[in-house]
Amino acid sequence: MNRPISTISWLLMLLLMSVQVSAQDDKQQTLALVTASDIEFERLTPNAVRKLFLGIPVSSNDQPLTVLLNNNSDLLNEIFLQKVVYMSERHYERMLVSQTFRTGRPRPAKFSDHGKLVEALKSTPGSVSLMWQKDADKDEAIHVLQILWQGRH
Amino acid sequence: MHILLNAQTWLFLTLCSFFYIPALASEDLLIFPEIRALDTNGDSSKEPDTTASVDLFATAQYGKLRLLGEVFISENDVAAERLQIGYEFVPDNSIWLGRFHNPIGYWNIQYHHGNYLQTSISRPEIAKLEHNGGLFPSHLFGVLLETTQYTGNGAQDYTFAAGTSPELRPVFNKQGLSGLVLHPLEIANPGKGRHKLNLTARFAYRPDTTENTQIGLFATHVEIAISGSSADAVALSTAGLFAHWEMQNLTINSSLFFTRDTVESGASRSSGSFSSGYLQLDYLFNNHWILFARAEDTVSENADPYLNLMQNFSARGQVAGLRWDFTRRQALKLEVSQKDRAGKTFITTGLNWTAMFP
Repeated sequence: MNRPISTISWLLMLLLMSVQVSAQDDKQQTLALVTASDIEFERLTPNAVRKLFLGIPVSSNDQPLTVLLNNNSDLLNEIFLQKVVYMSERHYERMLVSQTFRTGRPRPAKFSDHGKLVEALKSTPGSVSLMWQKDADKDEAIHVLQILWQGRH
Repeated sequence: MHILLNAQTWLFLTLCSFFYIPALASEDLLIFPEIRALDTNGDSSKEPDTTASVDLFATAQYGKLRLLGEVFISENDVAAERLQIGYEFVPDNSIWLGRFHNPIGYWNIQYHHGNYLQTSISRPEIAKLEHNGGLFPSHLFGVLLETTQYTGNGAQDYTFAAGTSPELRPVFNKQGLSGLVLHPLEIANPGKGRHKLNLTARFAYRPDTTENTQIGLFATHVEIAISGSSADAVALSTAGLFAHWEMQNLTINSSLFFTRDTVESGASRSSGSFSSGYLQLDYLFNNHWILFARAEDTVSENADPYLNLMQNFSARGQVAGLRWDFTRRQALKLEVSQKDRAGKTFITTGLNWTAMFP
């Protein structure tokens, strides 16, 4: 039996499809290395990025980089540990503390408020941090230096 | 609890006050509290059984200038263990002035006084601090030069230190320690004791700077004045090797010291040599549990004139224990050790709680 699809059915199907597309968009995440400084940036290797976030001096085109930690999202922190520094949170903390205790170099400043992180990026020359690309795109002062991870979570 | 604010502590508090200068670029503060309970069989002089302490560490950086302080507060004392002012002429190349830890081996400049950072409760005998009966100077007052050369993923660290040596003089304290003990120069009372020269050089190779794995060697020469004893002075020349190797679940930590010493007593001089070392293995079951064991040994100790003076040194021993990190920044450790000292064997059981804030 050939039954025509009613207008209501079409509308329901369209609604379901749009909900599905929207859900997929929410899961797609892009983690970026960002700055608000005028840096002549040279792409960093994954190991150099790892060093940077472990508090080891890293320069890009002779510009020393200062890392600021973005701590305003559990998911971002989880991706950072798994995909950027490749270690557990405990191990990461121990590495930073151990280095500070030995060298006297203070640990990177940590920000749990997005606004304060953006302010610090704007006011600290050569500073870089991690941010979801969609958040970075909302502020014209923030430039994406390189994509560190892209995927669904 | 007896706490007197001496000049060293005032200096540390001055350092802390830099935290309130808004122009400062960055600063950091670490607090390591510890409660330790020990029970030693065969040691009638042991007391107290339970001790509480806090290690405070502060550092402040303004441009290339860096200030660093570490104060250890125990029930008996408040002491500025490190108090340094440094200038970083290029990243990871610094010159420091002040009181710092002697860069010998691995333990002394990796864990400092932060018990939380080391797996075990106790330090190896040859890495013991002066006031606990250590053989080698662990605190110097002078100049420290630290440089790091990066090569690919790895790095070479070069460290040179020139500073005042400790004085060796008798002590009897509440911990039951008696005999000759090294006393480093006190910043608050620099005129106390006679302090000569200590020179140390250290080299370390790190194959991957994102890990703590390293191997290295060091050499040190120190002239030490002695008071309250028939001996007048001792000269120690020491060379050593160290390794800290982190694998998947296993960490190897080892040091070996070779020492030649000459003890002067009036017109007579007696010379000797000894070798002492330790090997510690830490096995990480998971992020919360670590099993550890350490063996320590010394060769030629009976004939050596310096070891004959240092009656608090345990020539050999075995240590085993378990560490439980029950939260992200707190740990409980249980440790059992057997050590030989002055012809007797002591078995010590220790339990400690240690943490790191913030």
